[in-house]
Amino acid sequence: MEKTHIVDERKLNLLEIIPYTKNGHVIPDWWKDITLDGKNAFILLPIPHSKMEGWRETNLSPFFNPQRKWTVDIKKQVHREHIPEIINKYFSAHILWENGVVTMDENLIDLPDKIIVSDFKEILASEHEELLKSNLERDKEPQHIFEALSEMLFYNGIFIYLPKGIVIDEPMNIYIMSSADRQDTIDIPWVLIILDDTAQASITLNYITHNTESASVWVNAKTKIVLGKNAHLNVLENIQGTEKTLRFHSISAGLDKDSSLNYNSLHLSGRFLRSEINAEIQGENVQCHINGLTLNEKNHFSETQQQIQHLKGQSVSRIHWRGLGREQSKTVYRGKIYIAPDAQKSDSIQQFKGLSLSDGAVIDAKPQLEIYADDVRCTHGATVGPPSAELIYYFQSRGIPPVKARSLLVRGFANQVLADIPFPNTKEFISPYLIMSL
Amino acid sequence: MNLLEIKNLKVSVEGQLILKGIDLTIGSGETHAIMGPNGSGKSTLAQVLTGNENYEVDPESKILFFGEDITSTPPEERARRGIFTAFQYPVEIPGLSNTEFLHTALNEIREWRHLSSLDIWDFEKILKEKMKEIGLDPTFSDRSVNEGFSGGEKKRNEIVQMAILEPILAILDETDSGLDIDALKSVAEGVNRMRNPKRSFIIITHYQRLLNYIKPDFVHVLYKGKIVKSGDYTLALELEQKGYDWLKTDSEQELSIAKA
Repeated sequence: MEKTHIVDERKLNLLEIIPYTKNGHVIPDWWKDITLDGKNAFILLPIPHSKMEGWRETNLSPFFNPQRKWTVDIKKQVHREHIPEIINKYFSAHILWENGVVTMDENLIDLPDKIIVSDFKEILASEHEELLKSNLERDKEPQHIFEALSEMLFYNGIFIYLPKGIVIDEPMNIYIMSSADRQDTIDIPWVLIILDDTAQASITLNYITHNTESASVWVNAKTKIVLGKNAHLNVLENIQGTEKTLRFHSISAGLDKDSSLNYNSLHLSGRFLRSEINAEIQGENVQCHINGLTLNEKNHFSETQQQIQHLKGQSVSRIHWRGLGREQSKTVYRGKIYIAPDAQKSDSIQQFKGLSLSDGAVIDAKPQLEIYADDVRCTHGATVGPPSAELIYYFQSRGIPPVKARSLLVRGFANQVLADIPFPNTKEFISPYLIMSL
Repeated sequence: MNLLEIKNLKVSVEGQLILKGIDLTIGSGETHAIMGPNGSGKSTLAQVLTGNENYEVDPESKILFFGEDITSTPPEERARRGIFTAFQYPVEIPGLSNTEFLHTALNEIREWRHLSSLDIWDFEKILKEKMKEIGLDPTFSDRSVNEGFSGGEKKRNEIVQMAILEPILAILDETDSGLDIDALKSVAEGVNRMRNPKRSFIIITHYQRLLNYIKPDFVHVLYKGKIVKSGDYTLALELEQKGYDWLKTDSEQELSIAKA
């Protein structure tokens, strides 16, 4: 007898959403299959709860509240007026996404001819459709319903492709804006970045939200990075949100021989964020660096889950993450370095530091190592605590009052990770956010 | 009016009495050395004068700075009034440059004294100049405060801070410990350059060595939380020759006589 699957009623509203219209493009079958496979997985996978490994600290009730009725609201155009001035000042927009629609300011950046920057739909029926297809199709099953949801509601994305040997020096600034005007709205931005052998690029991903008072935004973002042999990519991810922003970000990266990925994150605000990054070192002599800073406040929740998998040896990975929590915020860090049996001579350092600025702020850190090779150098460490009273006294002894001492300590704390971020002006950009963090 | 008056200073840490009634008066322009064996309470005295709130000061005790009672004044206000301590174990402040730290400190002090604040570029020039004078590599101005500095570099950095903040009363808490002879000389020169009729020093040390270079006007011996002997510079020489044992005996004898 066929087994009937009873669908969790909290998912029903999401299953009713019909994400895409043809919009003038012929949608190929492989594209439809992504959404159908996603739907099946979404039905079958459970809504994670606090008894499940990897979800113990994560309260998902804001997403799956029966009172909410989520919808998809595809925009006709991007509303630039919603972009915060400070972001535009430091990372002036080149490519903009808002709820599924993509606009480009190609004049603003001098791009080599061969580079492809486009939305996914424009790639259909072009010579790069196969490249798009092969990279969007699953290489593994979704791990949880958020990944399944990205497939189920897959609508469009930003496609960046640098063919062999192409180098762009100036950072390319991408804005991913998600907005909710009338109703609780879900946005599913996909970003696919492919650097062919020996290509080099520097990209900023600026995630912002805009909502009216009555509407929440759920951003379910998916980013995939593919680096060919000796390709080099620097990314600065700048995530912002409002009181009504719920974010789930999933980033995956595959790194071929001699390549390097330097992935930097600034998790600056928003009601809820869970960010998962999974980097696979697939060749030897790879450099994979992940640096980031979380600033957390109010009753917000910010979680970072990272995994670097050394599948091949003689590669280097570095994680340096810092979290600053104040008020009643909760900050969670989970980092894992996995070293496969063949990945000899791997070299990995993972470091987390948390600074709690109030008694109510919770910071929970768990760095992990899983090592199956015997000739490796791996270290990890985590420290969490309030600003040291001894340090504050030292400031006082030089005439600096405790309030100012704390502000300088916060800046110093952040500066240490910012020093590892290879994007100019990051320190200046972050400065006003640090003042707000006190 | 005296620059500093300490009256019957009794201090406890976690219920244990460390300073057992110290009286000390320091006039403007004077340099006082406080010597004594380990555990006699020398560093406690420095911390209490700086305003460290982890030390419990007896309510009867008084610290007067130019006649004003500062016994319960917080450390930052004492610093602004002109009290500076070069610490025995200076802390490291990761991520904050020497320039930014000291620029903030100096402007806090200037503001309190109703002076205009100093621009960071002008300030950095002054800082580098002072660093050169005291034998600290001027590129250290960009480095985080004391982070990765050797013991000697940390001590020199304390003297640089003193030279920048121009205190009225400077307390040097075992600044000589861990210094080689060259460092000791340049630290002493840094101090001597700053000596003037309006500025006073309290130099806390185990050894007479530093006092060869910074000649004190007065020497006091602290033992078991009390000043057991005071004299001029020759007392330091005497201590160097005889050690502390003869004083222990004398004072303990006095104590036993008193008890009897």
